[in-house]
Amino acid sequence: MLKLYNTWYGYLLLLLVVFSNPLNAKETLHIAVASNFKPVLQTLVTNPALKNINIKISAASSGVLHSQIMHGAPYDIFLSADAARPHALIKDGFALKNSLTTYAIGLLALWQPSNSVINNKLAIANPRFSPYGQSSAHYAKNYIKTPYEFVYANNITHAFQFVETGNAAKGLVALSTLKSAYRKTKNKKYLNYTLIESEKYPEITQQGVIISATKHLTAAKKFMAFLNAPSTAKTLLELGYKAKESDVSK
Amino acid sequence: MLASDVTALWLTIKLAFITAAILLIICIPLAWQLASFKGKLKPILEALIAMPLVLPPTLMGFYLLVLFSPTHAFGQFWFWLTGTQLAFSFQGVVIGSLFYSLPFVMQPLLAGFKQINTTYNQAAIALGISPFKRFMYLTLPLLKPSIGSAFALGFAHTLGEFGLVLMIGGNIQGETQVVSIALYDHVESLNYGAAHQLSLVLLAISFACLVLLFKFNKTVINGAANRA
Repeated sequence: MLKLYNTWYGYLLLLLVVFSNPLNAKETLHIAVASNFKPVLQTLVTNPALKNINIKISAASSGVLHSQIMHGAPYDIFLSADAARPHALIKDGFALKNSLTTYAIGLLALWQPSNSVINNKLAIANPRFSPYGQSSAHYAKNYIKTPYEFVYANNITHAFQFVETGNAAKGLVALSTLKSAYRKTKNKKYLNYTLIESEKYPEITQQGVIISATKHLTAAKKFMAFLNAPSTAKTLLELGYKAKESDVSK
Repeated sequence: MLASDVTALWLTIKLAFITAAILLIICIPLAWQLASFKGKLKPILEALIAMPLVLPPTLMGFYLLVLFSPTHAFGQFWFWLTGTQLAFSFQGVVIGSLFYSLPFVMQPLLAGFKQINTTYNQAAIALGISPFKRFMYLTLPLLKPSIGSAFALGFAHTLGEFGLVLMIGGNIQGETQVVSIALYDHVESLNYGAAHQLSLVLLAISFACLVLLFKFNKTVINGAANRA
């Protein structure tokens, strides 16, 4: 795509694009986001800094989005729940290498909403494909001393549902899910969690990339810069994520 | 094929068989009653039975998860009855599958009952044969092809069950990890080779099932059109 700008028809295309848009038209960015980050993204995009960009959000599991992008889905930005998939997209030429960024670091919490559910089931996201699951399994195996039996959820939100509905007595869930549930309902049960020290599990690095086929590179870069800005880091912390440089333990 | 995939395959076949068998036991008397039922509520009952056709399976799964919860009356009742928990267990998945495949067993049976020629039954009534005997010696034998296709459809449909088991299963090997879940696991972990293998086996089994169904039950599936 970039090579196109070096040719005469590339310039023609560029002119066409420029003149087919009214001068002040908002640019539209289509962002593919891993489901666990969707509520946070929805909060972030209301920020006045992004008022000139019209943002469309598609949420699914990182695996599904990854396959969609490989098959030509019209996304401009991919915010994955892991680091592996953005790297794979770069390697296969579907994403821009220099756009790779760690936009958030996931935090785990051990949640036991009440003592009324008596079983030793511990809900975690499936470690075979979820980075949250891998970190959860690592933590459980090394630090949980009471007997437990894993039940594997499809993703980290689903692990939350297993506990929420009372089918599993406790679970390793995302801090962000608990915070978002508490914001919505003010129910005290969402506060009965223990935040797990981040040294005790492999870091849950959520990375994002700009898709090579994007037609809105400037807007996409602007959005990525916004995502990495210090003010965004503060919001992330409030919503239950850690930004790359910040340190929650202090 | 991986050992875990063989386990999943066997579990799926077991699940499909048990589900189809239980559904037959429930649906034969139910369809018998419903086929001759003339009340105003009939369309409502028929619609209720057909609901699983249109409801998203993950939605049914979510509400079953709520229902199975030890904090819910039904979950408590089950725990009191059996001492076990339904979510994340094979029994739980069987209950889910009963809902999921209900219309697929019910529809062929209903169609079958409606097609049975009423004159035989009237003759039997005139001869003073009891309703139970009429059912056992007249209706059931006439219904045989419908029972066959009801079983096969229920079996085949349960083989492909996914969203519901995903919600209530907890992905436990040998207990709730059916083929579709194992497949999803492979795809999500970018393990495409294993996924292709397992899909191929599932495809072959489902195809064989449907071939058998169409071979032995032409009358029921195309029945209405042919008899008219």
